Amino acid sequence: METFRYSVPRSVEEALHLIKEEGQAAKLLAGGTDLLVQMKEGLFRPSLVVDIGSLHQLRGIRKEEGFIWIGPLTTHHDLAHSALIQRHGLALAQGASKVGSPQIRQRGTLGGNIANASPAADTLPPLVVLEAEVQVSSLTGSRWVPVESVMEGPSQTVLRPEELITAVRFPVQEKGFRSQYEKFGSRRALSIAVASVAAGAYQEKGCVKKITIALGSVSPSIVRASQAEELLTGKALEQSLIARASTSAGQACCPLDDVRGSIWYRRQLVAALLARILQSWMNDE
Amino acid sequence: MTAESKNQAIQLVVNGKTHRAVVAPQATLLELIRDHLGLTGTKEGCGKGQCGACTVLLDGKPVNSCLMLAVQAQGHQVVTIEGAEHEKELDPIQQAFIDEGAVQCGFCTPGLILSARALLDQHPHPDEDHIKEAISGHLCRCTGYSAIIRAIRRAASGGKS
Repeated sequence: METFRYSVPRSVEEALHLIKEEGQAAKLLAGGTDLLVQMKEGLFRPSLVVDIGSLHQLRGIRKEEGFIWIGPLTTHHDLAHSALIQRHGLALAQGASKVGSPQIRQRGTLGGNIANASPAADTLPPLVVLEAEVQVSSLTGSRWVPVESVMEGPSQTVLRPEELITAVRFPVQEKGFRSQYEKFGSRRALSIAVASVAAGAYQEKGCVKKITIALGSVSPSIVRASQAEELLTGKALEQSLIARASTSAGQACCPLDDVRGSIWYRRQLVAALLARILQSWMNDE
Repeated sequence: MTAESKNQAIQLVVNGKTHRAVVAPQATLLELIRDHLGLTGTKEGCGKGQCGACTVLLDGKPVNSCLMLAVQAQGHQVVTIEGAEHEKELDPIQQAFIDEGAVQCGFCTPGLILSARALLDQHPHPDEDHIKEAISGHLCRCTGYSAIIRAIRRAASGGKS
């Protein structure tokens, strides 16, 4: 790694001043599990590293005014084990539990996973189906951006160099809502998803009132399977419907042909993963 | 507050002993442990968090020391494999690894023992799935894991196989 100037701000405002002054040559350091690898590989050569790891106000999970509020420095380990997240956003707890390894989950953070903007990020499809928003702050104020609009492509986000993620929140859904995340990788630990699917739905007496389906690792960013959502809305889950919706989700995405999987294989995976989620919901009814 | 590229003075507790060190900002915790403190039981395998050979306990939790800057350990407690034994007595996990023949080349062993220590501190009686999850961040190219899982189970049951 090349050298850099290192700073530990004691407040969010101080961190915002530092990144504003340094501009694009600054990098924010949270858990470091992505950033250090990228710096070792020479992908980033920041002149200034701003270590926000000790800003405790950016950590923690709480229920507040109809929302689940998550500090961006919350680790994957803490997300996976949080009773609040398991209860109100199970898909996110499942996604967080599938990031990297136990060691990575102890250090890696939710904000880091969002800002790193990998199409294979395990927390992003769950956040999309939970209708999560990201609070983005700079010295001039803050704005809420839907997670779905944060990522623009691999390693590309709408975040400007002078901005910092200061909160993540999703609405506490009404009774009857459930969410689930399924991932397929080359093995269970330390694998990057070949394809992943999250779904969140309201069901009433076996009928799907509303459903959101988000696909990971099959497009430059997280994509919705809108046609499958339409097929399922207003209907009771049964085998032939699940088969049609799953196939439709597989056809809807435009995955890459790469070392992790071919286009054909990834489409089959998306269909199989969505079918797995819908089957388990049908069997629960 | 300053933003200096110069070396940073840090203080941390390693294996129960307070250390002060002056490190370059880009030095990893692994480099601090091996090169400054001379504790070479912690190994570097891949250098990017995939193999687990560099695992140490940070405030009791397993982390990859290759993916942490030394400066990030400021004020924290670190345990390396050299700190696993108590008053010259091997940790029961170390003894169980010997008894079960869970060591061949030994490169992955320090990290595995520390992940197992963190597991047993949290769950003294883990089931097999717990054990497999706890060691899922480690690669072992010699033993095929079965002996390692047996050793952790043995340590959890008080040394009996």
